[in-house]
Amino acid sequence: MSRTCHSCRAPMATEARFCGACGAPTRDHVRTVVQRGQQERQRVLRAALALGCACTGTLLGLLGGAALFGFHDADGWAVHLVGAAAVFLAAAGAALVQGDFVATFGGGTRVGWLAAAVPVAALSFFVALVFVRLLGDPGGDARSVSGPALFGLIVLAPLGEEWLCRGAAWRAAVTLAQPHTALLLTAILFAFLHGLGGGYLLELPHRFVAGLLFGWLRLRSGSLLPGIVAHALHNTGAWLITAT
Amino acid sequence: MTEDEELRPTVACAACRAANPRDAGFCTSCGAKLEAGPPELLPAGKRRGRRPAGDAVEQSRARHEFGRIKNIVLTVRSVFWACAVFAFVQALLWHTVLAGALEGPSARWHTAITVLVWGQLGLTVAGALLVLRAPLAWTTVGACFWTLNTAVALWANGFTQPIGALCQSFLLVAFWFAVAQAARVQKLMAADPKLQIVRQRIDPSRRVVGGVADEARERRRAERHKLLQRLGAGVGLLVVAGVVIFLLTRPPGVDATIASFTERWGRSDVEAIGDLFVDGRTDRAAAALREDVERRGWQRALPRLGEAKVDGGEDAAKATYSCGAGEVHATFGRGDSGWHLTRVTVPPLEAGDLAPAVESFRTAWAANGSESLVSLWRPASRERFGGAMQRMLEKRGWHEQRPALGDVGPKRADHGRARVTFPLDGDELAVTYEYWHPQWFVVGVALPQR
Repeated sequence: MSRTCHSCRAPMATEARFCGACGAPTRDHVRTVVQRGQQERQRVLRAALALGCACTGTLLGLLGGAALFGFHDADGWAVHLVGAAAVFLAAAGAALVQGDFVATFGGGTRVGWLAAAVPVAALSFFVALVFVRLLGDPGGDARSVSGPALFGLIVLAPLGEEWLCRGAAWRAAVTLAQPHTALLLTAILFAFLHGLGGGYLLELPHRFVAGLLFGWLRLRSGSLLPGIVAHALHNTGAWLITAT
Repeated sequence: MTEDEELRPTVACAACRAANPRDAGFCTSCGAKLEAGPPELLPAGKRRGRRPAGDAVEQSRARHEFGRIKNIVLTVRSVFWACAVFAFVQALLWHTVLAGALEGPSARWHTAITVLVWGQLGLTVAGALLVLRAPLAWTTVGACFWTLNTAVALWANGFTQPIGALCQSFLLVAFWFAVAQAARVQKLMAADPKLQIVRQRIDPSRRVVGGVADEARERRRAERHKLLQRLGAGVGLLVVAGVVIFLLTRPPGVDATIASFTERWGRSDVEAIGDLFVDGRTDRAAAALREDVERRGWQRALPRLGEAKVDGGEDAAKATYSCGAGEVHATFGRGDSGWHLTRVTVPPLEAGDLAPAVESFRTAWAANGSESLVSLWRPASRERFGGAMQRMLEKRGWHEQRPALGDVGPKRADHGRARVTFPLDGDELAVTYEYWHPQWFVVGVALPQR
């Protein structure tokens, strides 16, 4: 069954999207393109808002927790629980805003990538160490870290932050741009999320490098697990050097 | 499909390779104009470079959307430049004022803060320069910065400054919306190489004199010229309007106010002089001036004034005029609305002899009834005070016959006012006079207290 062009009345094939005589698009095709554009814009907007939600929610949660319980109670359960809760809530919020909760966890991975997490953790730890030394941190401030703090440092932080940055935010960033740009974006986000501990913006550079390295693991392996392992190893190294 | 249609020869689209009927002018799949002949024989220039993704409708929509949202990226660039200026000021402040103030344990942060301050400047300048090439990444950097700023500000101030907190939060949401638009801009730029925010350089070897590029440049130049002309005209109009408004609304200087006073005095317009007093004091001061003028008999014509000698400072001035044997002093003060008159001092009153007035009172007192006494009052206040005096006399039973007055007691006269006391029945009667040109009038009588 053939149609006619709405512009020049020339006969058109049923499957044609443009008139062969005058080049005018069919109304159906225009409608399809407009709808596709709207869906794409909505998808991008949701992804950007998810990124904003991840970033803002975490910062406000961390600051709110610190304001409630004080920064000095750094070894207590309360601060770690509130901080972890803020990170998890921000990640969950970002995942919900995108509309696909499960997809933010990524897929499974091979054992080889879990092994690759070890040198990546060593590299990120080395960069952080050099940067902290350059900043003039004495480094000799040995102190004992309590059990709750250790649990927060080695278990909660890697789980929460990796789900947030390499899970929810990663998925949002991949929607917004190419995977390599997503790597850059999530590394920036990761760096900014750590901007509270060592003073305003002072922790940006070495956290950014760590974010790039963990993101590289996520990019190549397609899974969150190697990043979580590397992050946990990095934090364990930090704890060991602080304790000794 | 009929056999004719099946056998009809087709032509491939050069853009999407879709098969089209031989007689088609446009590709029915992507809308591109079909060239005569097979695509492999098309001129090389036609196929050079990357083609925009999508069909004609998608490209058209993309161009439309790009034109609409690319301004957001340009706005983000402006924000980066503004932040860079702010960061530069911070760096200057740090090196000129703040760094020297660091003492004790804080001094060890000197290097770190210096790196931070200049790093912030470098980052914002880099953002301003590169945001057009990589809109998404740099808009996200800006959004992250603002998020951190907002979080720290909210944490530091709480909601003690709700307006500021709301503004910051609004900008935060706007920044993340800008991230979405920047992502779209980047995608559109990737899909169609013609869509660039940064103006593309033309290879000089491929440049055609008088070609499309030159036409576009000329058109842009003409538009810019037109815009500049309009802007110049607008700014010029604004400047002219501003100067005119300034001149029209400029509060007059003290010289103008003195000249105005002199001119109004010259035409003996006391009411107009009263308008020169500052608001709120106009009625009182004007009434005092009117009284001074009336008591001296200057209602018809004020005496001629000599040249004004002005003695003034920034907020007050005094003009002294010679006026007959005396002087007129006009004091001016500067208020919000300009210079105004605060006080006018006229020469002392030259009153006539008081003796006839005293004698008239004695005669009226000795006469029967009180009408002759009341007639000694000024016509303007006769009704008001004459009636009161009549009642006082009736109270004492003196309205017909009054006790005799003794000889005139002490007299005191000053500036056209006088007080005369008469001994009366072992007590005394005090009469107050005022000189209102050309004679003395009774303005008050104090009867003995009994």
